Amino acid sequence: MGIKINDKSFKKNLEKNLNDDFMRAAMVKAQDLINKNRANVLSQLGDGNYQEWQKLSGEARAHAIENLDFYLNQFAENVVKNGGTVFFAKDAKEASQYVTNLAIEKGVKKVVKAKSMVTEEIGLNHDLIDAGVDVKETDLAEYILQLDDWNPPSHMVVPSLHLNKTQIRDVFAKNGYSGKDIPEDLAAFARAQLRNEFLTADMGIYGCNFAIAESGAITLISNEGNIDLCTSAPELQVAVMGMERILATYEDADICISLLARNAVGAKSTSYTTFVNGITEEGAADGAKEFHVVIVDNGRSKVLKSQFKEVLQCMRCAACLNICPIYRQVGGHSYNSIYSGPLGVVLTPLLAGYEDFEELPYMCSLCGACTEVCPSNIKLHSLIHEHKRVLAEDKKNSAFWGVSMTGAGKVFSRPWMYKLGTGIAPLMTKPLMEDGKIKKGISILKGWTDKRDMPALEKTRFRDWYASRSKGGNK
Amino acid sequence: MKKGQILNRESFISNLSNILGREMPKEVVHPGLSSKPHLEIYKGYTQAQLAEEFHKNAQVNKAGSGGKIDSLIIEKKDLANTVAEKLVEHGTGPIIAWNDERFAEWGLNEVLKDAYVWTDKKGRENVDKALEASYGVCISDISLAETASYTVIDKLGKGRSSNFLPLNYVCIVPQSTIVPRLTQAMQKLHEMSKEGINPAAINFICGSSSSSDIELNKVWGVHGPIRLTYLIVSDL
Ligand code: SF4
Repeated sequence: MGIKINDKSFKKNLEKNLNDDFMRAAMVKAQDLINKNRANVLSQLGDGNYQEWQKLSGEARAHAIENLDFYLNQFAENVVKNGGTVFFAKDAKEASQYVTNLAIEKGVKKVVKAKSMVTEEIGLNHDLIDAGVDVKETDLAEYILQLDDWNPPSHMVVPSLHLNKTQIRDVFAKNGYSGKDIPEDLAAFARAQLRNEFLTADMGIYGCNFAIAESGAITLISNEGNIDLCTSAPELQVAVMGMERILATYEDADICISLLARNAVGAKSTSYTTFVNGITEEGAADGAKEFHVVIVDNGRSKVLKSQFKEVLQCMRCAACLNICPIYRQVGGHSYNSIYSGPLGVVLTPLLAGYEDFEELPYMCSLCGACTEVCPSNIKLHSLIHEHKRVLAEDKKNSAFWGVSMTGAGKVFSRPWMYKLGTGIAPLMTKPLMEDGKIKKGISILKGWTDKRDMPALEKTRFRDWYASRSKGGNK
Repeated sequence: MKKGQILNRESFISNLSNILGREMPKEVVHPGLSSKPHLEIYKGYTQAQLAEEFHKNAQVNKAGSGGKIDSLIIEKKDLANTVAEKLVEHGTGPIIAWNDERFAEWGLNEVLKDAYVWTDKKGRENVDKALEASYGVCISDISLAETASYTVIDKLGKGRSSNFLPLNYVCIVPQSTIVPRLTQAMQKLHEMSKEGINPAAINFICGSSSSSDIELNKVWGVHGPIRLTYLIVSDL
């Protein structure tokens, strides 16, 4: 799939999602529920001083990023000591090819996968399928999305949030399910379908929440237990990680894990927190006999070089999505990226370029709520603001933008022009009025009036009203 | 493919060092965390108090799980009987247990006489038995009071799949293994790692397998065990 989830224009995606009432209601429900639980568990963390933990977690993440070369090297050495192999991949193609070639070389027929955003990013599933390998996503949401013809994820923690249970029932029905749209029954169907897959797969592929340099451990956090089965049954196992996932020590991991589950799902801990350290003991009946870790750059080193470096601290908890008022309205697919919400707004243009994603930084009102919640202490709204600045600078050089901005600059810097413009605006919009409101705007007003009515422009300008009020006039 | 290689390291790491504006350092001194609130949680609690906290938090997990999790504080003399009761609570069926001499020491031989014992040299047969099992029986290596989590540190005779495939789980939590939280477990892993011991898998488990992926409705047993019973043994 890659980072971009479809080739439609930003506007088309947005239009489609704004018309999806179920999806929009699901986003609201998810935000409200997760935020309520999140606030509750954070208040019970130690003496409830979340900001202190947030600061510590930010320190741990920033220290690892500042010394990425050292810690990745130390981590790789330790993976080898634990019997594994490490492949450093500079881009998506190299990473995906390495895993696909490994599968071909080892004669792998079936792969079980546990949820991993980076494997989406590098397009691994499709390369494996093209190579004739049967790929089974095992996280319930990912399994649903796979059966639904690889429907893209809309949320980092609840990827199938945009589908309702009837849609899921219909997807399962095409695959042999004959029951009703009851969540318990649907989950039981998935369980029955997937159990045997774990035990008959030749290869397990999973992501990595944190990699611990001091031991070479891969840390995985989940509620379902599918990751644990992926790390237990297949003899050949591959962990794929973005290079920024590194932490120096177990103590740093303690702080970050303590915040990750609480922020992601509003629970003190997920049901399963797993550390994997390479191959299993000689003679063991299960576990990995061969273990590979693929460490992916794919544009992250460019981010490291830039003023956006801080975003590499992200631990993908989705707290910023869950608090964002824009995400609440438009849903994950509107970002047209596997990384949505405020994190996606910052990260996507950095990894995939401004060309396809120049609208993203404007999916933000700069309210700062994301910065407040972020357990990695990333100043997300400042980074989004920085994107806007970069784009504005860039656009200054483009012909259309240059002319418009120069025009606007002239109007705003000349009081008589400004006065004239604001004075005639109510008159200019008069033909658009209906029942005292602008219901069908044109040009830039259209985007607003497509969704709601715009109040009529006041005949009295604010400045005039204020001047009169200061003199003791008007109410 | 040879085991134990690092591929493409040079160019990858030197690119990062260039960006960071220096050669890769030979050593990095970790500045340490600027405060240690994680050390304050349940600080100074006795083992008995920690057992109480573990139990209390297990009750919270139980409530959140709609009763799929249970927890009891018992004494060693009652262990065999309680395990026997728990092994029939959700219907009888095949049992799988670790190959662990502590079961005999604690008087569980009779209760587990029909259990399949994980024996690595029997290979995949173990996994098939785990898949069929109604019950698994295990012992916590490190237990975390704050989250009511038990821990399994991978070792021959335990079998990784045996911890995730059975439908119901009975976990014996010796009070002596209970620590305040993840912090102390991480300290232990850090010490082990310094001595070059990195077990292939360390699993912290605090609940039944669950998912909220269908309209945010919580459902149980998507992949792993559906029910979990902790038996906290106060004098072990
Ligand atoms: S940016 Fe912060 S809040 Fe958003 S996903 Fe990353 S860690 Fe979580």
